[in-house]
Amino acid sequence: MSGLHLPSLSAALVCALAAQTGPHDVFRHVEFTTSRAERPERRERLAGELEIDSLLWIDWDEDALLQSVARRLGYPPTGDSQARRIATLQASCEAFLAADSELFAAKRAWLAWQRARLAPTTPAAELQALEQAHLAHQERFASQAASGIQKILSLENERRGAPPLAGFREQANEAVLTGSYEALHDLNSRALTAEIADVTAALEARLADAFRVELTMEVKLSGANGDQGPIYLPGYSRGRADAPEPYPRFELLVDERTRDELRAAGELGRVLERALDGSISADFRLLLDELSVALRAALDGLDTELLTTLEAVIADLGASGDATLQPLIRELRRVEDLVRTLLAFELPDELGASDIERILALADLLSGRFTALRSTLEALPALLETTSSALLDLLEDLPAELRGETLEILVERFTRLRNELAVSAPLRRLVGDVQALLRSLGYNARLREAAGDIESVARPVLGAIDLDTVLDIQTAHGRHPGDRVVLLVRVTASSRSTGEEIVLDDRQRSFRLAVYGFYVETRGALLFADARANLNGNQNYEPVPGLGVNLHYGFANQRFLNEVLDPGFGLSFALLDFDDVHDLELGVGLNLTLFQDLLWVGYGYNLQVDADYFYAGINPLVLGELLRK
Amino acid sequence: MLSNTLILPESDARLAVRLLADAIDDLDVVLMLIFGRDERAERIVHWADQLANKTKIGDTHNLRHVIWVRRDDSVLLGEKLAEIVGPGDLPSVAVLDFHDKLRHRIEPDAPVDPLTLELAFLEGHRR
Repeated sequence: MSGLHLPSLSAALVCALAAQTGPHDVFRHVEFTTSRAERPERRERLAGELEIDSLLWIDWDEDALLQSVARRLGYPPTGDSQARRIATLQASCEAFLAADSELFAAKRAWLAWQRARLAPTTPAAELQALEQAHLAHQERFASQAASGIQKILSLENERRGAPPLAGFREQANEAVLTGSYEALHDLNSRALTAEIADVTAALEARLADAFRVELTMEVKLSGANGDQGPIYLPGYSRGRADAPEPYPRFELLVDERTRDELRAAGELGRVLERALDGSISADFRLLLDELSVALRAALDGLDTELLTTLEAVIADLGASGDATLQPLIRELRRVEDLVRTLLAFELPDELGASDIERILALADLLSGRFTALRSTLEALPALLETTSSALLDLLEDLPAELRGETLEILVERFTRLRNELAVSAPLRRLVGDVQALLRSLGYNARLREAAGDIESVARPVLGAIDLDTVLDIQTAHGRHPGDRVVLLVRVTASSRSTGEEIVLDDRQRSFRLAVYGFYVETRGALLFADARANLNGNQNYEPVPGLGVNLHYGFANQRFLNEVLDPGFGLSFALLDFDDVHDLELGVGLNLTLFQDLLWVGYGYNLQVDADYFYAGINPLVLGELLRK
Repeated sequence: MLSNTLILPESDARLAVRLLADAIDDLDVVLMLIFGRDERAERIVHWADQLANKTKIGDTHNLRHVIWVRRDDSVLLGEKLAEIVGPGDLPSVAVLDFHDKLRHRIEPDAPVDPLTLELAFLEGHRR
């Protein structure tokens, strides 16, 4: 098997051709252009020789074809703004994920630190180490988030025509001042999600306007008499094998730019999926576990003490019957209810990456209850202060012997309540932390949707295109050495929106059929026979029809011998007319031909008349073929 | 309202030195010293105080403290400050880590914004 590149099938197309020949395993590449064709673009190029019983492999370089088609259609080269946007988006996405990972690590470290703080026996050195770990992750998170937001901001600014980092400092300052580090994360996440949606929309629009490109290949056998008959080409022909019709291939849907973009979008989708199903999900799982333990640790302290104290205080205040204390009683009951609800709440044991919706539903529930508890806890101290005067008034009204005891009880219980509420400060931080985590979960869910959107666009057009085929020369009937196999290639593009059709390429390539070694050719000829005997009438070089069975030899790599001189030797038969006695006069002779059986000479014997003859002749079909060249 | 900032007294240098020394001796904090009494210094102090809120734990403990040195013209305070930030002109901002080592300086002519201050604080947290 041999192969070769034929770079000039057309200027635009790259087609690699290889021929698996018969026993000689020879493919000779002879390329030249005939110079007398009428139109230069229709010049038939003789690409090489094919052995007459061989297979012709036609291998397409699909990528190169797509590139050339994109160039011919006038698409900008790779690296245009859309491709750059995706590259930037990817970089930003990577930074986002790195930041995300650091944020979770920081949160986990923070939870560990808080748990250690809740345990009174934790050594100070361990506490400090935990705190340092938290700060280190937080610092790395800030750095990654800043990097991500710079990239994403540069895209937004590019659309607005502003300098790449315009506004970054202001946004970052605002984020740092107002919302701690999560604000940077929020900003990055929002911009990232918006950008993904924007790119997806742009890709969809581009695909809707994309050209539909068709590739048609036909193969014909061109004989010595100039007739052309079609040959069946798998993948490009339909109908009967002996009467094939060309069938266009139209998988070349997208240009190079869109392919690159879709490839990038596919990668982006994978990156985002990794965030949702890979290591980060594992972090989430760990975090949820630790969160559950930390919540339990925080709430356990409140369980026995706070609830008991709350109940006692509520009972005492209620027993007084004073209407001014009712707002405080209501708030305390609310705290009691919320604490009971939270204590009864169980985080599910089994939550995986595929349970994002379930986690989000739980998140909403938790978030609502935590928010209520936080607002109540924040409002309580002020309420206690405002109602203290009412309590003092109440004490004034009590009998003197009861006043001291009651005052002592109330002071003791209020003191305990305040202490319990002070313990809840870490709980309040936990509330904020949980909410930040839940927001992160929400972002990831949105990002997953965006990734899905991009992939849904990419999926239909990213299938592998295989345009290769193979032509079995043996399926061409009536083939002879010297005949030509003509390959016609046509590439057209039609606009999906306007229907306009453009012919991108329309070329043909020919292969001369050859045989190597001895082979027999049967040809007809017009012979001019000259009788060697003295017969009646004038028998000098009388034109008669003849038939020759000639033995030829195909030499490897001998172009002159095979294609020009091409000697043949064999038997000739002629229908002679040397006298008027015999109705049939058959001549048999030894025949010598030259120039692809164009010229004939030989010496024969008239079987009926018993006379020798010499003859010369020509094959008018070969002559006609030569003249057509 | 500044909740994480100690404003050193301007009229009593001895008290100012003592308060400064007490603050530095607290090993559990990153300390940001801000010098000056102009509008720029005041703006920096407010930003720093807000940034210090982020490490506040409960009502009692905070890993970040801010000290506002409005006047430094007394000999006593000047000596103490030179001991902390080194001889020569005072910076706009100086950050001491948990072990009272100077970790970051922002010079008077350098631009300052919240991000710069946050990075300065983080320098103080670095081991």
